[in-house]
Amino acid sequence: MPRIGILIDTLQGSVPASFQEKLSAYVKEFPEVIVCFKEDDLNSSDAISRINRYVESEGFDRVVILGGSPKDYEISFQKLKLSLPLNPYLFSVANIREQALWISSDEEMALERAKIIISKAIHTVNSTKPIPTQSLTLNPEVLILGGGLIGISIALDLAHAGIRVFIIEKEDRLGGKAQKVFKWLEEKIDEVEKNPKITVLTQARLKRVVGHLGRFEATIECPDRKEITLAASAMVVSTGYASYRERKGIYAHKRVVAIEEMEKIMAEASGPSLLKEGKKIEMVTYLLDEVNEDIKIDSISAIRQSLILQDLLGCQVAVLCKDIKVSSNGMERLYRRAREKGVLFFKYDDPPRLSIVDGQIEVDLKDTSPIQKKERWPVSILSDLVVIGESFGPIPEAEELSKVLKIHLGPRGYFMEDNPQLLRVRSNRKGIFIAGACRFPQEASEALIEARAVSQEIITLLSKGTYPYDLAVAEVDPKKCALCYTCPRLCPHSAITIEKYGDRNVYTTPMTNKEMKWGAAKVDPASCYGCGICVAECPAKAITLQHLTSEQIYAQMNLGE
Amino acid sequence: MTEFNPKIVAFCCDQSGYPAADMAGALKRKLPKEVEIVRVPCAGRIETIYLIKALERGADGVLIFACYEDNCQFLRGNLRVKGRLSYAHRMMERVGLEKERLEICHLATNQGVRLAEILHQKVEQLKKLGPNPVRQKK
Amino acid sequence: MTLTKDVLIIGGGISGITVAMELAQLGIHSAIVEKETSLGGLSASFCCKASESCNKCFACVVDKRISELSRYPEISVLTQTEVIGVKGEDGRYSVTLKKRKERFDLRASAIVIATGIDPFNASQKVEYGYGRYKNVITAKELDEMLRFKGLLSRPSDGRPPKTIAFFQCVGSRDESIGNLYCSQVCCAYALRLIKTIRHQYPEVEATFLYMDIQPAGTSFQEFLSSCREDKKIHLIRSLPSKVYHSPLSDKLRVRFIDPEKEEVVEASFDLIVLSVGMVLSKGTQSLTETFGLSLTEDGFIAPPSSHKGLFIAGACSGPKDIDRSILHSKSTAFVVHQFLRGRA
Repeated sequence: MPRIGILIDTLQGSVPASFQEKLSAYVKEFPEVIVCFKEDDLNSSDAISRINRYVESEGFDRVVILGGSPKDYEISFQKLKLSLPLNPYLFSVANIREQALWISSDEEMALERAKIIISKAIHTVNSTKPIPTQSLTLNPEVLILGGGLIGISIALDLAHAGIRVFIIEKEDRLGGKAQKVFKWLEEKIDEVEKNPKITVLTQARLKRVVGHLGRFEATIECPDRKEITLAASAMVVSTGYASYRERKGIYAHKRVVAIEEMEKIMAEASGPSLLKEGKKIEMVTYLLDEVNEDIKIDSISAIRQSLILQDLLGCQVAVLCKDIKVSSNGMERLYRRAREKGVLFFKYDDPPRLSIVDGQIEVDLKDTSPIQKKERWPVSILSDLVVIGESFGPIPEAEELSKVLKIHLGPRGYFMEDNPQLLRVRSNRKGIFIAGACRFPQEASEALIEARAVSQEIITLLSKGTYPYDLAVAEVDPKKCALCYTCPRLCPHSAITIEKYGDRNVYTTPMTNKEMKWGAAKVDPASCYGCGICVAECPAKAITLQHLTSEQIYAQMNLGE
Repeated sequence: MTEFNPKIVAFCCDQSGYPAADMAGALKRKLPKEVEIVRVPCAGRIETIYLIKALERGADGVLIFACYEDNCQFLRGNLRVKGRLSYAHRMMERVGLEKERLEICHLATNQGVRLAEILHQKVEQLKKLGPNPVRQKK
Repeated sequence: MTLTKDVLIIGGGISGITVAMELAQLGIHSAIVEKETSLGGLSASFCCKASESCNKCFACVVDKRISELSRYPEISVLTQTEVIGVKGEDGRYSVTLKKRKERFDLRASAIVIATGIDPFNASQKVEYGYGRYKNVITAKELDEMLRFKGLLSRPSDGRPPKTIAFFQCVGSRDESIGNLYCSQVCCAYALRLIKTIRHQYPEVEATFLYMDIQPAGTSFQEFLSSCREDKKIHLIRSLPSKVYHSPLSDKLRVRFIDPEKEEVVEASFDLIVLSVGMVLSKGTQSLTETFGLSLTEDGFIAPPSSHKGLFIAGACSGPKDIDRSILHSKSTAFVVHQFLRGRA
C-alpha cells in the first residue's frame, strides 16, 4: 500500500486554522495516509528541501499538498531541473483555497468541497506510477530556409553565439527582395560569406525532412541535381513573401509602375528633376490600398518616396489611399513633413478610375476626407507617373514546403495560423521557427525584431546542449495500433510518425510461419506536448497518457460507477 | 422536499478553464454547490465516452470549458472536442436527453468572472429542465 | 544590505517579465524591480477580447506568463521598490533601491529598462469632457470594468448602455497636445473591445469615430471585414469636435462631421469611450536622467548609442502592443545575453 504524506500549506494565513484542523482530521481517515504536517509557503524555492526532510524522516512515498492553485506548485515541482526526493508525478495538489474555501458561500460547503477535492487528489497519487525523465542531445546546428534579410540576420546572430548555420537559398545569391531596398545588406551578405560558422547553399531546394526536434535530417537538392543531407537540431523558415500584381489593361501602361520599380527609378535619378524617356516628370500619383489593406509597408514607402520626389526631384506628388498607415515609429512626423512640403493626400472608398489622356494618366476619385459639402469637389489628377502598391502574398512554394516540413498554413496561405499562443515565432512543431514575411509581410524594422526573437528562442533551446523531457506524453501500444493513420494526421505538432520499431510488432503468418514486421504509430516523446488529442481520437484505444488515464478522469468526475 | 441542486461536471482545459476557475476563486466569486471540476491538459483530451458516461452516471449537466478558437495552446484541441460534442449530441437526441445538458463554453485564462457566470446560468437552466432522467431511474 | 545579480530589470510589466524569463532560461539571474504591489503592469489589466473566436489581443498570454514566473528560481521580484540612483558604468553598476522606507544597493552587470507606458491623460482633451462627465470613460477603464466586474454599465447610474461611441486618437496623432505620433495599437484595441461587447451584449450599438484605421497583425483584414459586416457597428471617418451633456436624459451629445451626409451632425450616446494613446510612463523621464539616456522626438526612450550594459525593452522604446512588446523583449534578452557572454 502506498504511504502518503499530507502537507497542509498554511498559505500565509489565508486558510483559517480551524479549517486546517478539520481537514487534517479528515485525511487521517484514509488508510494510506501516514502523516499530516503543516508548513508555510510550499511553493517557494526552499520548500523542496523541507519536503525532502519529511520524506526521509517519515518514510512516505507519495505526497499530497493541501493548498492553493496546483499551477503554483506543479510549476516548481514538475519541472525537471529540481532534484526531488520523489518522482514529480507522485505529488498531487488539492486546491482547497481557490477551489473550495474561496468559491463557497459558507464554511460547511467549503469543507464538503475540500473533502471531495482531497479524496480526488489522494486517488490521483495512489493511481499514478512514477514517470521517468529523459534527455536528448542537441548539437549546435541550425538550418535556415531563405537567405533574405531575415535569414541573414538570424544566421549572423546564431553564428556569433557559436552555432553552426546552414542557409538554403533558392536564388543564386543571398539578399532576397531586400537587396534592392537596403544598401547595407551588401555588407551583411559579405559578413555571412566570410563567417566560417555559416554555410550557404544557393539555388538549393529543400526536398525532404525526416526526424524531429534535435534530429532533423534535411535532404537538399543542389543545382547540379545532387542531393545532400544535413543534420540540424532546429530549423528556421524565413522564406519571405511574393509580390505578384497582375498588370492588365491600363496597369500595363508604361506610365504605371510599382513601388519597388519606383525605388529603382529614383535611385538612378541624378536630380534636380526626374526624367522618363527624356521628359521631365512633374506629377506623380501614388495609388495605394487597392489590394492588401492591412499591410502598412506600401504606405510607409510611399510617404518616404514622396518626400524625396517633392523635395529633391521637383515633382508634385499625390497619395491616394483608403487609410494612411502611420502605425510605425516616426511615421506620423514624416507624414506631416510630407504634407508641409506640399504632398497631397486623398482618401477614397470607391476605387479611383484611371484613364489615358494625351499620353498621361488621369486619375479620378471621390475624396472622402471629412470636409463639409460645400468645400467638396471630385478630384482629377493628370499624372505623368502612377505608382501602384504591391500585392503581397505567400510564396508559390509555401504549400509544398508546409508539407515537407509538416507545418501548418494559415487561411491566407502564409505559414502558421494566427494563434497568440505561438508567440508569433513558433510553429506547430517543436524546433521549427517562423520568422518574417513568410508568416506575414511587415515592415523591415519590425521583422528584424522578430528575427532576433527567433535567435533568442533558438539560443535558449540549444544553449544547454541537451533537451530534457519527461515521459508524461502520449504513448502508442504498437500491439493495439491498427495503422489507421488517424493520429499522425490529427497530431497538431506532427509528433507522430509510422515506424517499424521494437520486436513488439512482429506478426507470424500462420501459413508460412514467416515473421513479418508491421509498422505502428510512434510518438516522438520529445516533440509531444501531452495534449491528449490523439488519445481521445484513437479508435483502437492504443494510445495512452501515462499521467492522466481514463480511469483517473472518471475518478475526477466523482459520480460513482 | 429538498431543493434540487443540479450536479454539473465541468471539464476544464488546463490552459483556460482551470486557471479561470482559480481566478474565480481568487476574485471570491461563489460557484454553485454541486460542480465537479475535472482538469484535463487540453479540451482535446476529452473523449466522447466521458461526456456520455458523465450523463449516464447521473450528472444533470456537463460543461466543457475550452479555449477560444484560434487560441488553443495545442492549436486544434478545441476544434476536435467540438466535433465529438456534436456526436454526443446526436446520441443524446436518440435517447431523448436534452441537448442543453451538454455544452461547450469558450473561455480565456483570465475570464474567471465569466466562468462563474456561465456556471450559475447553467444551474438555473438545469433547475428548469429538472433532474437528469437517467439519475431518476437509478 | 547589498544584493548581486547578473541583470537588473526595471519594470515588472509583460516586457520586464519576458526579459527575465528569457534570461532565466539561459541561467542568468535577474531581479525585477516593480513599483506597484504586484507584477503585470498595464498589460495585466486587460480583459479577454474574444467574440465568437479569439481576436488576438494577447491578454491571456500575459496572465499565463505571470503565473509561470514562480517556475524560475533565477528571478527575484522586488515589488513596491523604486530606483533612487545609480553608480558605476560599463557593465559594473550599483543601483540604489528603495522599498518603502528601506534603502539598499543592488549590483548588476546589465540593466534593462522596461518601464512601459501610461495611457494618455484624457482630461487634457478638455472638449471631450473626461473627468467632468461621468459617462465619458477611457478604453482602459472600460477594459477593467469588463475584466473585474464582468459587466457593462454606465458609471452614472449603473445601467447598461445601449449606444456607445468610441473616439480614436485621443492623445495620439495630435499636435495640439504635443503628441505627433501614432500609438499604433488603439485602432485594433478599440475594435476588439467593440467586437467583444457586441458579442456579449448584442443589443448594444457601437460607433467608431476615427481618422485612419491602422492594421495590426496577421488576421486583421478578416477581423476588420467582420466589423464592417456588423450592422450595429458604425465605422465613421471623422473625429468629433465636442461633447455636451444633457442633464435631463443623462445622455451625451457629440458633434462631428458625418462624411455620408457631408455636414456637421449631432448624435447622442449613452457612453463615450476614449481610445487614449500611449505616453511614456510616469517617472521614467527622471529614470532616463538617472541613467543618462535621452528621449526620442516622440518622448520615448531612445536606444542607447553603445552597448555598455544599458538596454531598453518593450513599449517604453515606442508604442507597442502586447504581442510586439513580447517580441521586442525577447530580442532585448538576446542582446543582453550576448553582452554578458562578451564580458565573461
